[in-house]
Amino acid sequence: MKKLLQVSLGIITSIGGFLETGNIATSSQAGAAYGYTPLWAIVLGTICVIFLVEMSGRFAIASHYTIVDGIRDRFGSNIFLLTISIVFVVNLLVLAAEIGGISLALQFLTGVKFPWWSLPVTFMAWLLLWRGTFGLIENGISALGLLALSFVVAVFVMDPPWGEIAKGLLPTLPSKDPLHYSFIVVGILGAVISPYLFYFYSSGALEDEWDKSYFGANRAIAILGMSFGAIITAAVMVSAAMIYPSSGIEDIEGYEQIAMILTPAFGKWGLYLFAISLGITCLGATLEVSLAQAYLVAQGFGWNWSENMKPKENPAFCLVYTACLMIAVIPIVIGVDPLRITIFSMALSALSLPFGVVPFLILMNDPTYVGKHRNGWISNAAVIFIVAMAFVLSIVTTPLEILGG
Amino acid sequence: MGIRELICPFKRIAVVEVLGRPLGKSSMDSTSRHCVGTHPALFDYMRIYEENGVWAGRHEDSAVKLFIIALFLVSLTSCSDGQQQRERKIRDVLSWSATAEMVLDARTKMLVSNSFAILTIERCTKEIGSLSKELPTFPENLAALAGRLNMITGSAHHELINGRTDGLSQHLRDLRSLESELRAKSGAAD
Repeated sequence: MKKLLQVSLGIITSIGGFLETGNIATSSQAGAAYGYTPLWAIVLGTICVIFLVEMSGRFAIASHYTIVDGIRDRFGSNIFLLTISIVFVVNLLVLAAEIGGISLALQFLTGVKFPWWSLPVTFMAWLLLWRGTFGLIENGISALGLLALSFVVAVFVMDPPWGEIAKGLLPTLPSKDPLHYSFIVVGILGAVISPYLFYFYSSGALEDEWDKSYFGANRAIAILGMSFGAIITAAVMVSAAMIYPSSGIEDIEGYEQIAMILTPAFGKWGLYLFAISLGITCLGATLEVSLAQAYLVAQGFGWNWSENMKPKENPAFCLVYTACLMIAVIPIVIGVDPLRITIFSMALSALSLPFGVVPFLILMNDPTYVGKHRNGWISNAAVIFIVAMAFVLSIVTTPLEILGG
Repeated sequence: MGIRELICPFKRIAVVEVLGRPLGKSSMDSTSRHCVGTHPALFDYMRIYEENGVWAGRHEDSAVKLFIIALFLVSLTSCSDGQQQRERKIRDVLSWSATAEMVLDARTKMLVSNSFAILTIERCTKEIGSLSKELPTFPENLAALAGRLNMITGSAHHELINGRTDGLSQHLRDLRSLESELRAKSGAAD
């Protein structure tokens, strides 16, 4: 019974933790520009992230290592430093985007511009990390993200063309601007397969002291939590596809355009529901990314690490998330558009995927670490294919999008 | 007389030159001529070939290949971007104008707060203003049309700041009419 409760809580947390600024921004852009056509990218990304999250939990349970520990131990310091540096930089950008997301949510609610909110928001996130426990962050804040289910409700209220949605689940090329379409697909894949997600998850498995009885629970949480999270992301895209093209909005270039996505379904409550969903999901992601950064560095360099310890017991761990928050808030304070940071960071996430995923896949196939719990060929093939596709698409489209404006 | 050759990595286009001068038109298709013409750097790159077409240093191969790919991507962008850039800018203007319409409509129905409407219309005005400067003035004066859109959103913004909503319906009608005109003249309605 206790385990069933834990699994349920894990699934709820995963649903809430799945959606954040990257998913909301890329799905809205995709829906506005290409309707239901890019839905398949969410499906593909979700398959990949289910495999990766399940693997990271399985790795922690079977080896009692975190991924970073494993990479340092198996590949030595050079590969470890390369991996950690790339993931760290990409995570910093994602963190900036999440802080921007919370600040924008407050702008929509109060009318005070987002740069003014960035410092109080960052301080509040830091305080939660400093004073809070892993359970509070994992179960409290992330579970509040369930409010994002309002996107799913909105879809049913608006009664979309289900046949068109079903067609969008199969990969197709668009009738216009295939380059921009590919860039949007890259953004979706980068948002869904966020590297911080599985680094955080593997550390969380050790924080929660998962033992070998948790293999089944880990699988259930990965499959159900990520799938339900993906349904919310798909609901954002479907809502955008129903609202924006018919209103003449084909290009989404600012969060102000996304903010009214729930208004047709919920009337005057729509804006508030959107702002609160955005704020809470971004707050959850801010805490998770900050912790993921601290886990990465502290585990990699062999320092004390745990969100459940007091700061005086692991000062270096706390210093890392403090420094990350202080750096990430800079672009938001000076007024850089959070949507631009988000789109750029999602494309970079897709570009950086092989650097984080390939060493992890090698670990998952090494019996020294995982014993008989090695990967099967299906999970290896699926992850390699999807990550390679995201990498190739991002390396071709990102420079062209940036240079082509 | 040395003959140099470059095979573009993606399109299998052979660009042939003799001592820096392209061979006749028959040797090159229009895409490659345009790329080379737009980017003199591509010629510079070709000059580093030995006269017999073999690389001077094999260890530099991969770095140079990466450089070529990057250069080619830049060339590809500039080869195709003229018309595409113009279309994208028009699409952006229309999207921001439609956003202004959506917000003004919601505000007249009291579905969004005044503070949200003010900030959103302010953003729309700023974006349309900066995009209108980049639109062409010939053959259709799209820049002027976008400028008029900008004026309407600007005055709507002013009314919202002063807490007046009675004139918003008129601004909404003006926006819709101008937007249709811009769509028709730019060909975005097709």
